[in-house]
Amino acid sequence: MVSRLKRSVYDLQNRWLQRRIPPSPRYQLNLKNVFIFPSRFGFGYLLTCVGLFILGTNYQNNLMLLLCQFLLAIFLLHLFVSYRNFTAVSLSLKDIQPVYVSEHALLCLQLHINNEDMPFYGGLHIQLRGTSLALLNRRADRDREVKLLLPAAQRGIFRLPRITLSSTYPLGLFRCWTHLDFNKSLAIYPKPIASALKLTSTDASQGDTAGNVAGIDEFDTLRAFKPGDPMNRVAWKQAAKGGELSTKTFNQAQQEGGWLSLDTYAGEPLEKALGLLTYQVNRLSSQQHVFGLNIGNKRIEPSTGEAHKHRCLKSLARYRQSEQDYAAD
Amino acid sequence: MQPIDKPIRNQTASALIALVFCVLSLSLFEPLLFWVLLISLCATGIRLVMYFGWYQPMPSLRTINLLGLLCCLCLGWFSLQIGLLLTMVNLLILAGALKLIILNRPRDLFHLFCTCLFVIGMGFTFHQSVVMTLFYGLLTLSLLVAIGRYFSPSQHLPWHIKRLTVMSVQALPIAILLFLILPKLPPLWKMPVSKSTETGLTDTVTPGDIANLTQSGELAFRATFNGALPLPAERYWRALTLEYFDGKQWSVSPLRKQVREQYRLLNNEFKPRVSGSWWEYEVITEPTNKHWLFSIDVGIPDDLNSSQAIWQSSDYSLLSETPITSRRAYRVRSYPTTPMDQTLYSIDSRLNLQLPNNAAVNPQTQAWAEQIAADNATQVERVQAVLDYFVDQGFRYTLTPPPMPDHPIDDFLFMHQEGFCAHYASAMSYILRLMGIPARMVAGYHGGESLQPDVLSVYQYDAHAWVEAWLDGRGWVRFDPSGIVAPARLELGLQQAVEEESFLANNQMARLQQLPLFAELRNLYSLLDYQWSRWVLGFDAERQHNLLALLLGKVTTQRIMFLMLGICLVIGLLLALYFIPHWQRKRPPANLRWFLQASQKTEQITGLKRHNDGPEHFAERAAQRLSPQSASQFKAICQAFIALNYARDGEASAQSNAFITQCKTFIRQAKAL
Repeated sequence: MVSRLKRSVYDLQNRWLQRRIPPSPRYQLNLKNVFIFPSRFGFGYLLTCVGLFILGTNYQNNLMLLLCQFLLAIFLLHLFVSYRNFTAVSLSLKDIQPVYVSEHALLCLQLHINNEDMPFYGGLHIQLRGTSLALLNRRADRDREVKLLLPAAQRGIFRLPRITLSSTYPLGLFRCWTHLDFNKSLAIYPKPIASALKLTSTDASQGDTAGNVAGIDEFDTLRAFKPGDPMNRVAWKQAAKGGELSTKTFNQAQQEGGWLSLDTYAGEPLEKALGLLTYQVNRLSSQQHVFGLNIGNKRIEPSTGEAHKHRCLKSLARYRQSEQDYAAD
Repeated sequence: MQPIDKPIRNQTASALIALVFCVLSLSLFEPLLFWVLLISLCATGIRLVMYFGWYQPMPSLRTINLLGLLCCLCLGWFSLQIGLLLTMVNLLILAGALKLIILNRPRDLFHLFCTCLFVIGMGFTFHQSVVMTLFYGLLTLSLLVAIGRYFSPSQHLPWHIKRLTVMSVQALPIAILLFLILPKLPPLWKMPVSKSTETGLTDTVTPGDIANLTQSGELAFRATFNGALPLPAERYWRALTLEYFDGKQWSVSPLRKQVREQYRLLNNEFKPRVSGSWWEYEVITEPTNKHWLFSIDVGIPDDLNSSQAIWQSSDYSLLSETPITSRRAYRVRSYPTTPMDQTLYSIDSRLNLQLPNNAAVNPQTQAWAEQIAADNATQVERVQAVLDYFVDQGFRYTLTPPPMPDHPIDDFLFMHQEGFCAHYASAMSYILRLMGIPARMVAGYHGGESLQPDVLSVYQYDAHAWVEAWLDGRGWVRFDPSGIVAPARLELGLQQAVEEESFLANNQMARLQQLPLFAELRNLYSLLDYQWSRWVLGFDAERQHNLLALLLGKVTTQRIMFLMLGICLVIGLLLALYFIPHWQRKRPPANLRWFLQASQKTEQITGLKRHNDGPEHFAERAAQRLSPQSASQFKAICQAFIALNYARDGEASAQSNAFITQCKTFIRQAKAL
């Protein structure tokens, strides 16, 4: 009951924030997106002031009253100093590199000082809103960046929740904070599981697995090097012996591209099957092999290169997963 | 995840706060129990050892809790002796010290910070001088630096000090505005007061006591007069009347106290009818922890505030409603010519004809009094006979009379014939009582140094005692036998009246006072201290009301509202001044400034105007009118400037120092053809 209520309050806040601080790749902190309120310590400090006031009044001691009023004036100034300090930065988030399950993704927030004459001082506390992931970097003013490690527990493509940043400079009496949405998502690929390659040849669309094709490592012939041939296909041994540059060729099926398919592992549990495919995608990509991926009703046409690899891995991560907010636990 | 850095080892914040705490507890040396002070010093030591990393393991929480329990028990035991206020201070310091030992989490640091602030506040109950206020101000600043250091550890300590000093200086005007305007409330409830050391007069006087007081150069009180000061001989500051004599010492009569209590219950305050000329003045008294106040002759409270705080007793003395635990200001009007015959003779005579129960003490005096009474018929003649005796017999006025243990008055009158004011007053009152004249000893101060034309400072060494006798038809009349023996005492003060040697015997301060420079400094400090107590410590509801009246003309609720709004506006303006960067116009970079100066110099000596010429073009034009050396220098400058200004950022700053020296040499040496 309580948790449901909390949930709905949280959602309500989120909707309000969405209007108040719309997503943006870079934020300049200003009146519109900064919140400020006395911290717990600030309230303690006020309590001390009240104590001093009572003491000073009861003893009719002007110096105590003066001390109390001086502390109040400091409190007031603190409000402005905090705000001015916090709004001295603009913030951007570096792209988050995709990671595999059980690794950690690195969130790296960069601070840009607007005006070098009035730099940002003090530490920054970073928290992923709605999660318990938080870190205080007390030397954020020197590092000019704040990092947070996100554990990757589950495969999928996750929307990054808002990032709560707060600063308590200079005396911790006030807390300035903001909830920023950089509109980024976090890709967590399945954990690779080492295995032998299993490519299906020809047209996988027919649905039949046409037996194992020759392994991609199986060498066929050498031919003369043509500009444009991939470097890892060059027969360096021959070249080193003083021969002409020649390119290794593999058998025909390989050249036209094999298919990785989830159906190959129909007998395995889904997560394991995805892990096996992840491994193979990585392996094939590192060898700059041309391959396609056939997963569920989604087909990725054979290709090669980094972009292709990530496309494949993403579709593996996304398989039977709806897009959702990242949650630490 | 928890914050990685904790305020433990190697954290300057923890070491700083430990030092501040240590200094703070040392400054409260007097009110603190010795063992509490020791614990706080130990705690500081432990913290510093941890800071330098000589020894790492922290005492466990259980150990500290146990220690805390033990300390509380001890303190509970001692609290019976030292009273509630001191127990509170000790408890605060104790709690702070234990916290300091286990300082581990940020929260501990904040607790300690607030405790220290509170202790500083408590410190003001014990120390209120300018110097101590500055000292506590510095401590507050260091506390802020310590906590600021925790929140931005990547900056250097001097940077923090600078930042927080600026912030404090900015906060001060706001604090002062608030101080002036926020209403001064009366005490909300009665607070425990300290039973600390008592200085000054006591309500029991043995003749030797006042002589001891004269060794003290401490300030007793200051009086600011509206108008002329009373003549030196008229400055008899009454404090209390001593009406009970037991043969050796005088004290406030228990009967008098009872009468006073009854009057208080009936709320029947003694209001003397006053007449004649008056002096109007404000007294700022130093803390005495006693009730009595000082006034000349017949004094009555001068304003509402003072009269609320003062009870007028039927012995013409003024009593404060609460003990004077800190400096207090009150306003009095004194009527020196008012006859003191308005009290009930029945009570006064009953009190003041009292004789010691033990008739065997001072037999010689008793016989002598009978003799005088037989020789002289009227009261006046009898009094005169006693006074004449002091003069005829060549009595000496001294601060160091021989001890007179058994028959003090006999010994004084007939054997040693030397003594201090209390000896004379004691002897004379006793003789008058023996002769049937009601008489009492009055203790107070006589004299005062004038600090400013209208301000008198009265020190402890001005303590004095004299006699009041009830003469039929005139009421209470003042007689000062010591004034007759040593007239200089009245005219010039004690220092001149007694032999210098004995006055300075134990008083190093007084010896120092002889140096002119020191005297000058002391005078300056007294002045400062006086203004301080008058305007800062003595800024009460009355003064605040006067200030408001001065500002507003007439104090009405509406006008006060406007004033409040005005103050908020002023504070807003101050904040705007601090935080809107309108005046922080960017200075042009150093390179450009120096280049402009160099070309200005060229314009000056060549008479050419640069207008909007580019640097190189201008250099060519100027070359024809500059000496060859200067021309080549200027050309080099122009080229360097172009190179610098249009180079990539990194190089510009690296070379600018060389460029500036280049410009400087040119400006020094430039010559025309």
